[in-house]
Amino acid sequence: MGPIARVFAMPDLGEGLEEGEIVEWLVAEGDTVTLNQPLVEVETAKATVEIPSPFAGAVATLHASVGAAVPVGSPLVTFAVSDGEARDDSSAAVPPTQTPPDRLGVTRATPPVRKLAKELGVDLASIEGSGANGRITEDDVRVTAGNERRPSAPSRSTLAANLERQAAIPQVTTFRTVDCTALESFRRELGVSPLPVVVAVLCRTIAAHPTVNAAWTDDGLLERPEVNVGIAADTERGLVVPVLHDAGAKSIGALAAEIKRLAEAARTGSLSPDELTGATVTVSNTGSYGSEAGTPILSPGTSVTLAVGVIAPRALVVDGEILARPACTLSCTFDHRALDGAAVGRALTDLVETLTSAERLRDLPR
Amino acid sequence: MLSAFDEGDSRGIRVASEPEHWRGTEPVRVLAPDGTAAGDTDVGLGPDELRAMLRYMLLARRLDRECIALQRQGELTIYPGFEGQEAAQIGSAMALGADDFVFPTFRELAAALVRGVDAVQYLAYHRGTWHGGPYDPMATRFAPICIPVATQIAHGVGYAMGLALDETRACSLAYFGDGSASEGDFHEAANLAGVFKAPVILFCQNNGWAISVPTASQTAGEIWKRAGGYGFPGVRVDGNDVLAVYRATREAADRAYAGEGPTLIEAMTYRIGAHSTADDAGRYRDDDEVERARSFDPIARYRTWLTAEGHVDDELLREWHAEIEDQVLAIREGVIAQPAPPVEWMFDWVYADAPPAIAEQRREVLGV
Amino acid sequence: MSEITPEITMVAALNAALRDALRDDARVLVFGQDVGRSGGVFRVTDGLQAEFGARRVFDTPISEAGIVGAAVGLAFAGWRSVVEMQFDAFSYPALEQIIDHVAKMRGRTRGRVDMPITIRMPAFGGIKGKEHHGESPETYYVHTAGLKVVSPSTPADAYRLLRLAISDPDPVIVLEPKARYWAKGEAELTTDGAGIGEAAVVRDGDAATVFTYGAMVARCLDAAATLADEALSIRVVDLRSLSPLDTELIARCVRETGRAVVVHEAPKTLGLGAEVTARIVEEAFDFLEAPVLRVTGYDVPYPPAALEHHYLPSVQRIAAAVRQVAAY
Repeated sequence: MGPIARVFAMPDLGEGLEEGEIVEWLVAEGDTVTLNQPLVEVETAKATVEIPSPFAGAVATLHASVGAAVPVGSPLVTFAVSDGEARDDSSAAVPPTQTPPDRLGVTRATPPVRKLAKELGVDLASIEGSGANGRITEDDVRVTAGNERRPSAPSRSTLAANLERQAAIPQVTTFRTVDCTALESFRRELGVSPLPVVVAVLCRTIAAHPTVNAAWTDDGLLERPEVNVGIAADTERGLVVPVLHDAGAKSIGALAAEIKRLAEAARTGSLSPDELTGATVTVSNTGSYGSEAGTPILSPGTSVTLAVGVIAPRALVVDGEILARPACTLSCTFDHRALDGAAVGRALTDLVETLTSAERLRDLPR
Repeated sequence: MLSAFDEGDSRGIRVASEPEHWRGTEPVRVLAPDGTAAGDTDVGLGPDELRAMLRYMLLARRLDRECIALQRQGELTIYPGFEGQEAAQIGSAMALGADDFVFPTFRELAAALVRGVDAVQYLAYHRGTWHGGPYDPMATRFAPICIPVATQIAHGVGYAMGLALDETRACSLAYFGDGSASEGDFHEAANLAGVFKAPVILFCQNNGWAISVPTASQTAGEIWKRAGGYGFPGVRVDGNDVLAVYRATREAADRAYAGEGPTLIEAMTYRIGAHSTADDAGRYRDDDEVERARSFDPIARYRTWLTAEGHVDDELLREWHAEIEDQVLAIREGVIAQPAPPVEWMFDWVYADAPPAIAEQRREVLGV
Repeated sequence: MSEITPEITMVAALNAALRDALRDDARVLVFGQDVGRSGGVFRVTDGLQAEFGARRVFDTPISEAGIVGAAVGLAFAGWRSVVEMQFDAFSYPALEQIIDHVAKMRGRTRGRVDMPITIRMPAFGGIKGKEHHGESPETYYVHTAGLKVVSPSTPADAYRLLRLAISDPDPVIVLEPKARYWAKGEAELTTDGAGIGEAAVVRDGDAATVFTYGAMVARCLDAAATLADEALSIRVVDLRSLSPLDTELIARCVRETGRAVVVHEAPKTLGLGAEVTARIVEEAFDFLEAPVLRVTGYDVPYPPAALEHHYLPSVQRIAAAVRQVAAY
């Protein structure tokens, strides 16, 4: 076996020292040294010490000159050693450098909401939170997610929380009593309930009074071209508000069929998320359970809720005479930020005039 | 060079003035510093045991110097040398029985050799492969190496209390230094030992220096005298006189076995080297002082006496020289061959059963 | 139920645990300051020396470091020591022995030398004590690998935890809530039931979980009763074992209730609440409906008796925090 080159690196002579300065070489290149023979005098931050040779053999290279500071771990002396096992000098694996994570969007949401948003692929930064301090709620995420996921029926507590939020909106309710003689005769003629007719009349009214279909946002009043009418419905699962999309483009017959279908779906809990979201105005058929008048509250995203009370014979003054006529009370709640009383009054007058006019009713798309 | 065989030859020892911290009460001696008899030299050991003590001292010194070299070659982390203290450690360790238990500091490699601790396993501590001491402390009756000074004295006392409860005829011995004796733990342990009459030997190696602070700055009194305050005997011996150390320790052990309680031994010795390889004694100590102290060298003194008595001769010493060189080289190779332990060892003995958090971190490190 | 259930104090339960341990294992020793003839300043060791003799139940000099250091040596000699630190703050002189040796010896000897040492101490405040008599030192011990740390809240749990501590092969610090020493609870004493490392749900509820331990368990139960009147159903978890922590139960409760409050007497900064909160964030983040709140002692030295009630978490402070997380 021929000689093997062995490199002796500057050891840590103290505790955590980083370098040592060569004071004096005690051997020269070409010298033959014995194990533990003093090689070099080194001065560190703590002490001046003699380093003994770790090998017996010939000194091949001295890697530093007197006065040089040699970092711990750098070659000090290379020896030519006759035999001996090579030592394992494999260096420790260098840990991979980590790239810092992207800065998170500045959104307020609790961890479960963030998780839901991730699951539904919703970008929280794109949502205006409807919760306290602008916090994004579970509903906000679901509304944004649209039809990607079928939501479970809201629990009583979720409903309560939603209602509390809606009740915080400044809202006013105004009432009108309507002679339903024309309406009753018209809807009997068509073989439908009064509700699709009221919806159709509402859509026609909105065409002339678009603010009824608008929403109040941080940027002011947002008008919407499409009329999507939410129909508040009482089901075994609680209150749900299925939506008649683009109701203004539909005939009374189509509206009646759609209402029937939505009511059935609401009862069986099979409404799609799309059918539960996007209302621009709401009609509540409170007459279906005998209520005469009320103060409905607004649905999320709408500025007006129109409650239709029970249609029953009432004593009305017609042309100076007291007559028994089928009649009902309309209760109209509106977001006072979006609308004022006069604007709503004008719209309601227009709506009532249509509802009470056989002629105007006949103009509606059948 | 690293061998001690050229030290203390038969031309005789020229004794200089004694180290400063030895002044005061004259230490008990069997051998005078020049290697002549200073008292009754029959300490109860036969010729083989007398020879064995010298051989241990020679091995210890040679190994100590090898360890300093190994540290400077990057093979050991910090190493605390004990040159000059061979008699104090070997004389005391030789006096103990197989059932006695030693509680060491971090400077008792010589005593460990006598107790049969494997030197490679012991040095794994200084190589940084494990804490405490990778040797089996129960099998060797040699507790793990102890760094926080004086804390081990209470362990020795507690162990001795346990021996007394079991009515076992054995004792414990706790080593400590002159600096440790300033710690509150020394006081608490010594006081407990006295109150419970524990069969323990409190063995102080007063080597004159606690890193850079001399004994005179540690205490204004003499450490052995404190024993009286705790209600048990103390004795000051020449710690570089291996026969005196042996006799004092033997007597203390016999007292302990007989149920007479603890003994405090202050062995006056001298730390020839620096506190450790990370220390430069030249910053605070004159070379002259060290040179003077070398004239009290424990190996030269004992070798002179043994040679004069005819127990050893040059031929035997040459034979030992060769054996010890081989022995130390084998230890060197054993130390260098020691790999880093498996990483899971960090977790494996923290608790008898690893709690979930540690089990999880262990899996994380292992990547399983 | 018409039958009268006998009840005992925590002191009596601890005393029974020591008595039963001394009886069941001849290697068990009980020692410390005033534990012998006097029976301990809180009478926890009352009568033990008379029953088991001064060889196994004995007084020591006033020397906390020496007492714990001796217990280390006794462990080498095969003895199982139960030592008393007379008060929480008086355990500090022994910290070096506890941290450097008691906690580490098993690892340093690669499992060859166990440290089956139990270190008991009356802990926490609430008794209008002098200074140094009302400390909550748990963080020092919980932060030390190799130690187990427990704190009972009832007599039955005090019995169980102390017995389990004594029979454990590892060292256990037992923090006895001195404010609950004389409170009575069920007298059926057994080692069956939740062990070291297991927390316990002591009141069920679904609106939020309150995690606590020691004397604060009773106070949190009072707060939960108050909140029940407001239709808030609060779960209360007695952590019992401060190290190891029952992170599994902690995470499960947060997954089920979505809201959490941690209550302890120790100062807030780096108190156990910090660890519990961090665990919740690590293990149950996706279920958090509100930030985790901590109701703790303040970051000041334990105050004098006249101010103690301002410092300790009150029913009002606990209830306010719970209302805050519930309404978030």
